[in-house]
Amino acid sequence: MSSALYQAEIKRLARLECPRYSLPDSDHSITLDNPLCGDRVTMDFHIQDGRISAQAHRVRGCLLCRASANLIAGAIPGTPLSDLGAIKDCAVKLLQGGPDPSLVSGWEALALFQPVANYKSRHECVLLPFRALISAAEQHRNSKG
Amino acid sequence: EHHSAFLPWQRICKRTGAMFRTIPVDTRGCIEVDALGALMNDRTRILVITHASNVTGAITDLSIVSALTRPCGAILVVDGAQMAQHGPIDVKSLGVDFYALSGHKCYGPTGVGVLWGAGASLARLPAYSVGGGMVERVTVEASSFQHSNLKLEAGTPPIGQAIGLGIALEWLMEQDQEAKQHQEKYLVDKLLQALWERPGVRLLGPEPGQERLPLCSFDLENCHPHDISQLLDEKAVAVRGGDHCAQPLMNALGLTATTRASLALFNDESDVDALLNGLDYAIGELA
Repeated sequence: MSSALYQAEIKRLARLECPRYSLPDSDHSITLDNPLCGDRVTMDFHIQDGRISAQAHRVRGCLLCRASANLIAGAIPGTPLSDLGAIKDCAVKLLQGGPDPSLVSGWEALALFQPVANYKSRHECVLLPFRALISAAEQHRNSKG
Repeated sequence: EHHSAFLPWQRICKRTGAMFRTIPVDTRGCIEVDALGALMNDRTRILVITHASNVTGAITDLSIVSALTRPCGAILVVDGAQMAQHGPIDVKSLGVDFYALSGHKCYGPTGVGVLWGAGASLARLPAYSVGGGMVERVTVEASSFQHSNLKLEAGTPPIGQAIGLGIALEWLMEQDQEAKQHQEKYLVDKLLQALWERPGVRLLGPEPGQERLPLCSFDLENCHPHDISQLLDEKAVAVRGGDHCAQPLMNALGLTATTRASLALFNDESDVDALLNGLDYAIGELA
Protein backbone atom coordinates (compact mmCIF):
# COMPACT_ATOMS: atom_id res chain seq x y z
CA MET A 1 0.00 0.00 0.00
CA SER A 2 1.11 3.54 -0.73
CA SER A 3 0.58 4.52 2.89
CA ALA A 4 4.24 3.64 3.40
CA LEU A 5 5.13 6.27 0.81
CA TYR A 6 2.95 8.86 2.42
CA GLN A 7 3.97 8.27 6.01
CA ALA A 8 3.73 11.16 8.43
CA GLU A 9 7.44 11.96 8.52
CA ILE A 10 7.74 12.19 4.74
CA LYS A 11 4.67 14.42 4.62
CA ARG A 12 6.10 16.60 7.38
CA LEU A 13 9.36 16.90 5.52
CA ALA A 14 7.57 17.77 2.27
CA ARG A 15 5.55 20.47 3.98
CA LEU A 16 8.52 22.15 5.63
CA GLU A 17 8.81 25.74 4.63
CA CYS A 18 11.90 25.94 2.50
CA PRO A 19 14.41 28.10 4.41
CA ARG A 20 15.45 29.88 1.22
CA TYR A 21 13.95 29.75 -2.24
CA SER A 22 16.87 31.39 -3.98
CA LEU A 23 20.39 32.61 -3.33
CA PRO A 24 21.30 35.99 -4.75
CA ASP A 25 24.66 35.77 -6.53
CA SER A 26 24.70 32.00 -6.27
CA ASP A 27 27.84 30.28 -7.52
CA HIS A 28 25.79 27.66 -9.30
CA SER A 29 22.11 27.34 -10.15
CA ILE A 30 20.81 24.04 -11.48
CA THR A 31 17.37 23.31 -12.91
CA LEU A 32 16.42 19.73 -13.66
CA ASP A 33 13.21 18.18 -14.97
CA ASN A 34 11.76 14.75 -14.75
CA PRO A 35 9.89 14.56 -18.05
CA LEU A 36 7.96 11.47 -17.00
CA CYS A 37 6.00 13.17 -14.25
CA GLY A 38 6.74 16.85 -14.67
CA ASP A 39 8.76 17.38 -11.50
CA ARG A 40 11.07 20.39 -11.73
CA VAL A 41 13.80 21.27 -9.25
CA THR A 42 15.92 24.40 -9.18
CA MET A 43 18.77 24.53 -6.67
CA ASP A 44 21.13 27.41 -6.00
CA PHE A 45 24.46 26.93 -4.27
CA HIS A 46 27.16 28.96 -2.62
CA ILE A 47 30.46 27.12 -2.50
CA GLN A 48 33.34 28.05 -0.27
CA ASP A 49 36.62 26.19 0.26
CA GLY A 50 35.32 23.11 -1.54
CA ARG A 51 32.19 22.89 0.58
CA ILE A 52 28.59 23.86 0.04
CA SER A 53 28.19 26.84 2.31
CA ALA A 54 24.57 27.61 1.43
CA GLN A 55 21.77 26.07 -0.59
CA ALA A 56 18.30 27.18 -1.67
CA HIS A 57 15.70 25.48 -3.82
CA ARG A 58 12.41 25.75 -5.61
CA VAL A 59 10.46 22.57 -6.34
CA ARG A 60 7.42 22.17 -8.55
CA GLY A 61 6.97 18.53 -7.98
CA CYS A 62 5.35 15.73 -6.05
CA LEU A 63 5.42 15.16 -2.35
CA LEU A 64 8.39 12.80 -2.54
CA CYS A 65 10.43 15.25 -4.58
CA ARG A 66 9.68 18.09 -2.16
CA ALA A 67 10.56 15.93 0.82
CA SER A 68 13.82 14.89 -0.83
CA ALA A 69 14.78 18.49 -1.59
CA ASN A 70 13.97 19.58 1.97
CA LEU A 71 16.00 16.71 3.39
CA ILE A 72 18.95 17.91 1.35
CA ALA A 73 18.41 21.50 2.50
CA GLY A 74 18.66 20.37 6.11
CA ALA A 75 21.75 18.23 5.72
CA ILE A 76 23.80 19.89 3.02
CA PRO A 77 25.37 23.01 4.61
CA GLY A 78 29.07 22.36 5.14
CA THR A 79 29.16 19.20 3.03
CA PRO A 80 32.37 18.84 0.99
CA LEU A 81 31.78 18.66 -2.75
CA SER A 82 33.86 15.50 -2.79
CA ASP A 83 31.18 13.75 -0.69
CA LEU A 84 28.26 14.49 -3.01
CA GLY A 85 28.86 11.50 -5.26
CA ALA A 86 28.80 9.10 -2.32
CA ILE A 87 25.64 10.71 -0.94
CA LYS A 88 23.81 10.38 -4.23
CA ASP A 89 25.05 6.80 -4.66
CA CYS A 90 23.76 6.02 -1.19
CA ALA A 91 20.31 7.35 -2.19
CA VAL A 92 20.39 5.27 -5.38
CA LYS A 93 21.40 2.10 -3.55
CA LEU A 94 18.81 2.69 -0.88
CA LEU A 95 16.11 2.84 -3.55
CA GLN A 96 17.45 -0.36 -5.01
CA GLY A 97 16.89 -1.97 -1.64
CA GLY A 98 20.55 -1.55 -0.75
CA PRO A 99 22.61 -0.70 2.32
CA ASP A 100 21.89 1.20 5.47
CA PRO A 101 22.10 4.95 4.70
CA SER A 102 23.87 5.53 7.99
CA LEU A 103 26.99 4.71 5.96
CA VAL A 104 27.01 8.39 5.10
CA SER A 105 27.26 10.33 8.32
CA GLY A 106 24.72 13.10 8.69
CA TRP A 107 22.40 11.61 6.07
CA GLU A 108 20.71 8.96 8.21
CA ALA A 109 17.31 10.53 7.46
CA LEU A 110 17.60 9.11 3.97
CA ALA A 111 16.21 5.91 5.49
CA LEU A 112 12.80 7.58 5.36
CA PHE A 113 12.73 6.86 1.66
CA GLN A 114 13.31 3.13 2.08
CA PRO A 115 9.63 2.31 1.28
CA VAL A 116 10.02 4.03 -2.09
CA ALA A 117 12.26 1.14 -3.15
CA ASN A 118 9.12 -0.87 -3.93
CA TYR A 119 7.83 1.78 -6.34
CA LYS A 120 10.27 1.98 -9.21
CA SER A 121 8.30 4.67 -11.02
CA ARG A 122 8.83 6.96 -8.01
CA HIS A 123 12.60 6.55 -7.64
CA GLU A 124 13.30 9.56 -9.86
CA CYS A 125 11.05 11.71 -7.68
CA VAL A 126 13.46 11.19 -4.79
CA LEU A 127 16.61 11.26 -6.89
CA LEU A 128 15.99 14.42 -8.91
CA PRO A 129 17.21 16.78 -6.13
CA PHE A 130 20.27 14.55 -5.64
CA ARG A 131 21.01 14.79 -9.35
CA ALA A 132 20.97 18.57 -8.93
CA LEU A 133 23.69 18.19 -6.29
CA ILE A 134 25.84 16.21 -8.68
CA SER A 135 25.27 18.71 -11.48
CA ALA A 136 26.38 21.52 -9.17
CA ALA A 137 29.56 19.65 -8.30
CA GLU A 138 30.26 19.01 -11.99
CA GLN A 139 29.57 22.62 -12.87
CA HIS A 140 31.93 23.76 -10.14
CA ARG A 141 34.63 21.38 -11.29
CA ASN A 142 34.28 22.55 -14.90
CA SER A 143 34.36 26.18 -13.90
CA LYS A 144 37.69 25.57 -12.16
CA GLY A 145 39.06 23.96 -15.30
CA GLU B 1 0.14 19.86 -29.52
CA HIS B 2 1.46 16.49 -28.46
CA HIS B 3 5.26 16.35 -28.77
CA SER B 4 4.78 13.82 -31.58
CA ALA B 5 3.09 16.48 -33.69
CA PHE B 6 5.46 19.22 -32.53
CA LEU B 7 9.00 17.88 -32.62
CA PRO B 8 9.20 16.69 -36.26
CA TRP B 9 8.14 20.13 -37.52
CA GLN B 10 10.41 21.95 -35.12
CA ARG B 11 13.29 19.85 -36.41
CA ILE B 12 12.38 20.37 -40.06
CA CYS B 13 12.28 24.12 -39.50
CA LYS B 14 15.71 24.06 -37.89
CA ARG B 15 17.07 22.07 -40.83
CA THR B 16 15.48 24.17 -43.55
CA GLY B 17 15.50 27.61 -41.94
CA ALA B 18 11.72 27.80 -42.12
CA MET B 19 9.99 29.81 -39.44
CA PHE B 20 8.28 27.77 -36.71
CA ARG B 21 5.22 29.47 -35.28
CA THR B 22 2.73 28.28 -32.71
CA ILE B 23 -0.92 29.15 -32.26
CA PRO B 24 -1.69 30.68 -28.84
CA VAL B 25 -3.94 29.00 -26.29
CA ASP B 26 -6.34 30.57 -23.83
CA THR B 27 -6.22 30.16 -20.05
CA ARG B 28 -8.06 26.83 -20.32
CA GLY B 29 -5.49 25.51 -22.75
CA CYS B 30 -7.81 25.66 -25.77
CA ILE B 31 -6.33 26.62 -29.14
CA GLU B 32 -7.31 30.13 -30.18
CA VAL B 33 -8.33 29.28 -33.72
CA ASP B 34 -9.37 32.89 -34.28
CA ALA B 35 -5.73 33.92 -33.95
CA LEU B 36 -4.80 31.77 -36.93
CA GLY B 37 -5.73 34.37 -39.49
CA ALA B 38 -3.12 36.81 -38.20
CA LEU B 39 -0.44 34.11 -38.11
CA MET B 40 -0.86 32.89 -41.67
CA ASN B 41 0.14 34.50 -44.93
CA ASP B 42 1.15 33.51 -48.45
CA ARG B 43 4.49 32.31 -47.11
CA THR B 44 2.86 29.76 -44.81
CA ARG B 45 3.71 26.32 -46.11
CA ILE B 46 2.28 23.86 -43.62
CA LEU B 47 -0.26 24.09 -40.82
CA VAL B 48 -0.23 21.25 -38.31
CA ILE B 49 -3.02 21.07 -35.78
CA THR B 50 -4.59 18.54 -33.49
CA HIS B 51 -8.14 17.44 -34.16
CA ALA B 52 -8.65 17.01 -30.43
CA SER B 53 -6.26 17.76 -27.60
CA ASN B 54 -4.93 14.87 -25.52
CA VAL B 55 -4.59 17.31 -22.62
CA THR B 56 -7.68 19.50 -22.66
CA GLY B 57 -10.12 17.39 -24.63
CA ALA B 58 -10.94 20.46 -26.77
CA ILE B 59 -12.04 19.62 -30.30
CA THR B 60 -10.72 21.79 -33.11
CA ASP B 61 -13.23 23.11 -35.60
CA LEU B 62 -11.45 21.95 -38.72
CA SER B 63 -13.91 23.70 -41.05
CA ILE B 64 -12.62 27.07 -39.77
CA VAL B 65 -9.01 25.92 -39.91
CA SER B 66 -9.41 24.55 -43.41
CA ALA B 67 -11.09 27.76 -44.63
CA LEU B 68 -8.19 29.83 -43.25
CA THR B 69 -5.57 27.51 -44.69
CA ARG B 70 -6.83 27.25 -48.28
CA PRO B 71 -6.27 30.87 -49.35
CA CYS B 72 -2.61 30.64 -48.28
CA GLY B 73 -2.06 27.49 -50.28
CA ALA B 74 -0.63 25.81 -47.17
CA ILE B 75 -0.80 22.08 -46.55
CA LEU B 76 -3.08 21.17 -43.66
CA VAL B 77 -1.86 18.25 -41.55
CA VAL B 78 -4.12 17.03 -38.75
CA ASP B 79 -3.19 14.90 -35.77
CA GLY B 80 -6.21 12.71 -35.19
CA ALA B 81 -4.61 10.38 -32.67
CA GLN B 82 -6.99 11.40 -29.88
CA MET B 83 -10.08 11.80 -32.05
CA ALA B 84 -10.24 8.68 -34.16
CA GLN B 85 -11.40 6.33 -31.41
CA HIS B 86 -14.27 8.68 -30.61
CA GLY B 87 -15.32 8.83 -34.27
CA PRO B 88 -16.42 7.80 -36.79
CA ILE B 89 -14.52 10.30 -38.92
CA ASP B 90 -15.16 11.04 -42.56
CA VAL B 91 -11.70 12.30 -43.48
CA LYS B 92 -12.72 13.32 -46.98
CA SER B 93 -15.24 15.79 -45.64
CA LEU B 94 -12.79 17.53 -43.29
CA GLY B 95 -10.99 19.57 -45.96
CA VAL B 96 -7.56 18.45 -44.79
CA ASP B 97 -4.53 17.29 -46.76
CA PHE B 98 -3.27 14.69 -44.31
CA TYR B 99 -4.80 12.99 -41.31
CA ALA B 100 -2.78 10.79 -38.94
CA LEU B 101 -3.85 8.42 -36.19
CA SER B 102 -2.22 5.84 -33.91
CA GLY B 103 -3.18 2.19 -33.71
CA HIS B 104 -2.82 1.86 -29.97
CA LYS B 105 -5.22 4.76 -29.35
CA CYS B 106 -7.89 2.84 -31.22
CA TYR B 107 -7.55 -0.35 -29.17
CA GLY B 108 -5.17 -1.72 -31.79
CA PRO B 109 -1.51 -2.73 -31.59
CA THR B 110 1.41 -0.40 -30.89
CA GLY B 111 3.92 0.54 -33.58
CA VAL B 112 1.37 1.03 -36.32
CA GLY B 113 -0.92 3.83 -37.40
CA VAL B 114 -2.64 5.47 -40.30
CA LEU B 115 -1.59 8.37 -42.47
CA TRP B 116 -4.39 9.33 -44.82
CA GLY B 117 -3.64 11.75 -47.62
CA ALA B 118 -5.99 13.52 -50.00
CA GLY B 119 -5.30 12.40 -53.57
CA ALA B 120 -3.46 15.45 -54.90
CA SER B 121 -1.58 16.03 -51.64
CA LEU B 122 -0.49 12.43 -51.44
CA ALA B 123 0.71 12.57 -55.03
CA ARG B 124 2.94 15.54 -54.21
CA LEU B 125 4.74 13.69 -51.41
CA PRO B 126 8.14 12.33 -52.39
CA ALA B 127 9.25 8.89 -51.26
CA TYR B 128 10.99 9.73 -47.97
CA SER B 129 12.55 6.30 -47.60
CA VAL B 130 13.57 3.74 -50.19
CA GLY B 131 13.71 -0.03 -50.13
CA GLY B 132 11.90 -3.14 -51.24
CA GLY B 133 8.24 -3.10 -52.07
CA MET B 134 7.98 0.50 -53.20
CA VAL B 135 9.86 0.34 -56.48
CA GLU B 136 8.61 0.33 -60.02
CA ARG B 137 11.91 -0.42 -61.71
CA VAL B 138 15.50 -0.44 -60.46
CA THR B 139 18.51 -0.34 -62.77
CA VAL B 140 22.14 0.55 -62.25
CA GLU B 141 21.51 3.88 -63.95
CA ALA B 142 18.27 4.96 -62.27
CA SER B 143 15.26 3.83 -60.31
CA SER B 144 11.59 4.71 -60.38
CA PHE B 145 9.06 4.29 -57.63
CA GLN B 146 5.43 3.40 -57.22
CA HIS B 147 2.79 6.07 -56.77
CA SER B 148 0.22 7.00 -54.19
CA ASN B 149 0.73 5.44 -50.75
CA LEU B 150 2.83 2.58 -52.11
CA LYS B 151 5.86 4.82 -52.61
CA LEU B 152 5.86 5.51 -48.85
CA GLU B 153 5.93 1.89 -47.76
CA ALA B 154 9.51 0.80 -48.24
CA GLY B 155 10.64 -2.51 -46.80
CA THR B 156 8.69 -5.25 -45.10
CA PRO B 157 5.67 -3.69 -43.44
CA PRO B 158 4.57 -4.48 -39.88
CA ILE B 159 2.16 -7.09 -41.16
CA GLY B 160 0.89 -8.42 -37.85
CA GLN B 161 0.30 -4.93 -36.46
CA ALA B 162 -1.47 -3.79 -39.62
CA ILE B 163 -3.84 -6.78 -39.50
CA GLY B 164 -4.43 -6.12 -35.81
CA LEU B 165 -5.19 -2.47 -36.44
CA GLY B 166 -7.59 -3.36 -39.23
CA ILE B 167 -9.51 -5.70 -36.94
CA ALA B 168 -9.55 -3.11 -34.13
CA LEU B 169 -10.94 -0.44 -36.46
CA GLU B 170 -13.56 -2.83 -37.82
CA TRP B 171 -14.58 -3.64 -34.27
CA LEU B 172 -14.81 0.06 -33.45
CA MET B 173 -16.98 0.69 -36.49
CA GLU B 174 -19.30 -2.15 -35.47
CA GLN B 175 -20.14 -0.38 -32.23
CA ASP B 176 -23.31 1.62 -31.90
CA GLN B 177 -21.66 4.99 -32.51
CA GLU B 178 -24.54 7.07 -31.27
CA ALA B 179 -24.85 5.09 -28.06
CA LYS B 180 -21.07 5.20 -27.57
CA GLN B 181 -20.90 8.96 -27.96
CA HIS B 182 -23.95 9.47 -25.78
CA GLN B 183 -22.49 7.31 -23.02
CA GLU B 184 -19.08 9.01 -23.18
CA LYS B 185 -20.66 12.46 -23.10
CA TYR B 186 -22.88 11.55 -20.17
CA LEU B 187 -19.93 10.24 -18.19
CA VAL B 188 -17.56 13.11 -18.90
CA ASP B 189 -20.25 15.69 -18.10
CA LYS B 190 -20.89 13.97 -14.78
CA LEU B 191 -17.18 13.91 -13.99
CA LEU B 192 -16.62 17.51 -15.07
CA GLN B 193 -19.58 18.77 -13.08
CA ALA B 194 -18.35 16.98 -9.95
CA LEU B 195 -14.84 18.35 -10.36
CA TRP B 196 -16.12 21.81 -11.26
CA GLU B 197 -17.89 21.99 -7.90
CA ARG B 198 -14.83 20.96 -5.90
CA PRO B 199 -12.78 23.69 -4.27
CA GLY B 200 -9.15 23.90 -5.33
CA VAL B 201 -9.68 22.23 -8.70
CA ARG B 202 -8.49 23.92 -11.88
CA LEU B 203 -10.09 22.26 -14.88
CA LEU B 204 -8.52 22.51 -18.31
CA GLY B 205 -10.42 22.54 -21.56
CA PRO B 206 -13.99 23.45 -22.44
CA GLU B 207 -16.44 24.05 -19.62
CA PRO B 208 -19.01 21.40 -18.66
CA GLY B 209 -21.72 21.07 -21.28
CA GLN B 210 -19.54 22.25 -24.16
CA GLU B 211 -18.35 19.90 -26.87
CA ARG B 212 -15.20 18.00 -25.92
CA LEU B 213 -13.59 14.60 -25.82
CA PRO B 214 -14.50 12.38 -22.89
CA LEU B 215 -11.32 13.21 -21.03
CA CYS B 216 -10.67 15.54 -18.20
CA SER B 217 -7.38 17.12 -17.10
CA PHE B 218 -7.21 18.95 -13.83
CA ASP B 219 -4.87 20.48 -11.31
CA LEU B 220 -5.71 19.98 -7.67
CA GLU B 221 -4.33 22.54 -5.27
CA ASN B 222 -1.55 21.19 -3.03
CA CYS B 223 -1.77 17.70 -4.51
CA HIS B 224 0.69 16.75 -7.22
CA PRO B 225 -0.66 14.62 -10.09
CA HIS B 226 1.98 11.97 -9.50
CA ASP B 227 0.84 11.51 -5.91
CA ILE B 228 -2.83 11.49 -6.92
CA SER B 229 -2.15 8.89 -9.62
CA GLN B 230 -0.26 6.69 -7.17
CA LEU B 231 -3.07 6.75 -4.65
CA LEU B 232 -5.83 6.30 -7.23
CA ASP B 233 -3.98 3.27 -8.54
CA GLU B 234 -4.46 1.70 -5.12
CA LYS B 235 -8.19 2.05 -5.65
CA ALA B 236 -7.93 0.40 -9.08
CA VAL B 237 -8.49 3.71 -10.84
CA ALA B 238 -6.02 4.34 -13.66
CA VAL B 239 -5.33 7.96 -14.56
CA ARG B 240 -2.33 9.67 -16.08
CA GLY B 241 -0.28 12.16 -14.10
CA GLY B 242 2.31 14.22 -15.93
CA ASP B 243 2.78 16.65 -18.77
CA HIS B 244 1.05 14.35 -21.28
CA CYS B 245 3.86 14.85 -23.80
CA ALA B 246 2.81 18.48 -24.12
CA GLN B 247 5.42 20.54 -22.30
CA PRO B 248 4.93 23.71 -24.37
CA LEU B 249 1.24 23.66 -23.43
CA MET B 250 2.08 23.10 -19.76
CA ASN B 251 4.47 26.05 -19.89
CA ALA B 252 1.77 28.23 -21.45
CA LEU B 253 -0.57 27.29 -18.62
CA GLY B 254 2.02 27.80 -15.89
CA LEU B 255 1.87 24.14 -14.94
CA THR B 256 4.31 21.26 -14.98
CA ALA B 257 1.75 18.47 -14.79
CA THR B 258 -1.93 17.64 -14.50
CA THR B 259 -4.00 14.60 -13.64
CA ARG B 260 -5.92 13.26 -16.61
CA ALA B 261 -8.85 10.88 -16.54
CA SER B 262 -9.73 9.44 -19.95
CA LEU B 263 -13.10 7.82 -20.42
CA ALA B 264 -13.87 5.35 -23.17
CA LEU B 265 -16.61 3.09 -24.41
CA PHE B 266 -15.91 0.45 -21.74
CA ASN B 267 -16.43 2.86 -18.83
CA ASP B 268 -19.64 3.25 -16.90
CA GLU B 269 -20.96 5.37 -14.07
CA SER B 270 -19.32 3.20 -11.41
CA ASP B 271 -15.91 4.16 -12.83
CA VAL B 272 -16.65 7.85 -12.44
CA ASP B 273 -17.85 7.24 -8.88
CA ALA B 274 -14.70 5.23 -8.15
CA LEU B 275 -12.56 8.09 -9.43
CA LEU B 276 -14.36 10.69 -7.34
CA ASN B 277 -14.22 8.50 -4.23
CA GLY B 278 -10.58 7.77 -4.97
CA LEU B 279 -9.87 11.48 -5.15
CA ASP B 280 -11.37 11.95 -1.70
CA TYR B 281 -9.11 9.19 -0.47
CA ALA B 282 -6.04 10.69 -2.14
CA ILE B 283 -6.72 14.15 -0.78
CA GLY B 284 -7.13 12.65 2.69
CA GLU B 285 -3.88 10.71 2.44
CA LEU B 286 -1.93 13.71 1.21
CA ALA B 287 -3.34 16.11 3.81
